[in-house]
Amino acid sequence: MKLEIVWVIFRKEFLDVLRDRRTLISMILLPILLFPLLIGGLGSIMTGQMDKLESRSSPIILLGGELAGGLTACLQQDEGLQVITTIEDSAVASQMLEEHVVQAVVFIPDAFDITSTSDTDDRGSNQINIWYDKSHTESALTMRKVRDDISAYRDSLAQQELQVRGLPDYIVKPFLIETDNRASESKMAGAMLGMLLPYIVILLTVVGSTYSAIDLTAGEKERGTMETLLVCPASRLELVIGKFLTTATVGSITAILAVISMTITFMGPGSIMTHELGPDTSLSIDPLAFGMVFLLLLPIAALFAAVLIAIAINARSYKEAQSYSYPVVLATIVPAIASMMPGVEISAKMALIPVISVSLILRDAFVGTYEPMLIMLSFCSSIVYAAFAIFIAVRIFQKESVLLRI
Amino acid sequence: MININNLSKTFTDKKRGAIKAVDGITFTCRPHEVFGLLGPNGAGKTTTLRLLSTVLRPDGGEATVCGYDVVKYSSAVRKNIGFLSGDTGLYRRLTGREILRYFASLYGVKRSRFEEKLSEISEILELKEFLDTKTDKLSTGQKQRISIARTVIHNPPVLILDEPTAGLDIIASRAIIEFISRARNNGNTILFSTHVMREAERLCDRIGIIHEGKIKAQGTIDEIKAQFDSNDLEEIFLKALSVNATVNAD
Repeated sequence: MKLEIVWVIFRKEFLDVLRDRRTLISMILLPILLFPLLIGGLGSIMTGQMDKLESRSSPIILLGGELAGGLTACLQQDEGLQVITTIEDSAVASQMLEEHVVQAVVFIPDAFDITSTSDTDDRGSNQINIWYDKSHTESALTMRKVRDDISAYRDSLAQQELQVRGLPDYIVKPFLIETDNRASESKMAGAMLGMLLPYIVILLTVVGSTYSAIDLTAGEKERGTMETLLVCPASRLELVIGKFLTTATVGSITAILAVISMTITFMGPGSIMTHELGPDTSLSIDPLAFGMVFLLLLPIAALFAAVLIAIAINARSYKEAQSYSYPVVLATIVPAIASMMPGVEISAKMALIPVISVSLILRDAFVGTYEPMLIMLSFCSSIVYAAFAIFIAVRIFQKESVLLRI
Repeated sequence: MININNLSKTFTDKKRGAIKAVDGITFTCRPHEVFGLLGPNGAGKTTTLRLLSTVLRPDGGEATVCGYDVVKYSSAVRKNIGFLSGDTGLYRRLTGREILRYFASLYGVKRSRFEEKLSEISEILELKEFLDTKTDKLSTGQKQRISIARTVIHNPPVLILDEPTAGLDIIASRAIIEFISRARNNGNTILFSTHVMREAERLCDRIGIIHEGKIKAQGTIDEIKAQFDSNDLEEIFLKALSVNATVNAD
């Protein structure tokens, strides 16, 4: 194999794919724009909608409010609620909730007795019901507002009673409960990135490589340029390696752009991470984790390129090659999703499974866990699989029936 | 120089079984000569030319191009031939210059030699006007001229042309015919296939009529006419197809 010839093929093929609009969209535009659009666009629309819902004054029905003393006034004080007390029939209230005319119904049963101060009274039967529709976001939000208001009212009643009896507050609250997240901001950011990043980046890499692989093989047959190429002195191995390197480069560029775009979207100024975890988060992700991403994505891009070329060369036309490569894209989704599954951990056996191993290692790298031996194992196994796929592709390139549609 | 001796190629088809596309053919094509391979569709013309251009491997017999065996020295054979067919496509996102530079590099033509050769070819084929335009913007004739330039950019002594005028209009065909005449005058060995009798009569020094993978008759046009006792090549062609035995006018 002459490297000079491989370089000539690579240079021409790369120039050719750079001028292909479809490849440019999937290689550059898609990975750059996907995350800002997904997170920025969709995310901000969702946040905006939630804010709007939370600030909106939601109508609720209070049934039997006169039995609960100051509760009606307490709920009415909440600007986020619009309390309707004129409905008395629980069936009507239930119907209105179902039709989303009101977002919640506070139902106080007839047996409810808030006035009794006797220690012997059975307070256990005192219960306030909140009816809501969990399938409806506004109703669920309203339920929380109502529950908080009622809890606050209940606490105030307890406090009053303690004062009357001359008892301290800690009688009802003997201790406080504080939750303390001991994960660092970096770890939190890493966990969030580590869950999503492997899946999306792996998927984008395979999608990015697909057009190039098809264009350089089935596309070449369809345009009638394949035979001309087979008649030139370049060997089949040189042709396959040149085409493989082009596709692997396209896949790697897609992956690198996706990682950069995702990081900026998640960690840049004004992003979700800095909003949730503080402005310094962007500084705290381990640069080694990013190094690892690039290192592991190269053999993955190589593997996809080799497999896609070996598959697409069998097709007679661009369209046929597209239908052949869809299963590859779909087959990639399942192992790529491994990073999102709880309890799936990297092990020596797992490190030998292509795509899954990379997906799991990337997830762990983002929370600062590295297993050098397993990383080496995954890296090497991906390269071996890629080399095997190239070997197959070269064999297919030597088949007369495949190349010339005989 | 092309030498073919008892060359065979069989394809296996799932439905039809074994098909002898080329069945023991023998002929020679010399420098300063145009040898025309005449035959109807499916006669074995393209397979023969593909065997010679090393895209396919023969099952039997032997063939040499410029003294190199097509199986043992396929790379040397490919360096010595220029191949063009009627359905040859071009990279549509590249310009003519980029395509020619690409193939020149693949054939190992040095950069300085390429520039020299390019200006010489552009002059003859009048490419200058559209050499830097992407080929998908070119007319069929212009594309064909780029294809011709691609065929000869490495100065091959042997030209193998598979129905080079198929599907072309009169103007584009004319460019090919002129190119073949010029190449013969330059001393090239030219093997070309066609089913257009007039083209064969006008261009070929010798012809071989091929049918069902076998050469039915071969020789100079005059020899063939004498053999079949007719002046009409079309009539000769039809007669040759119905002949069972091979007629060799050499």
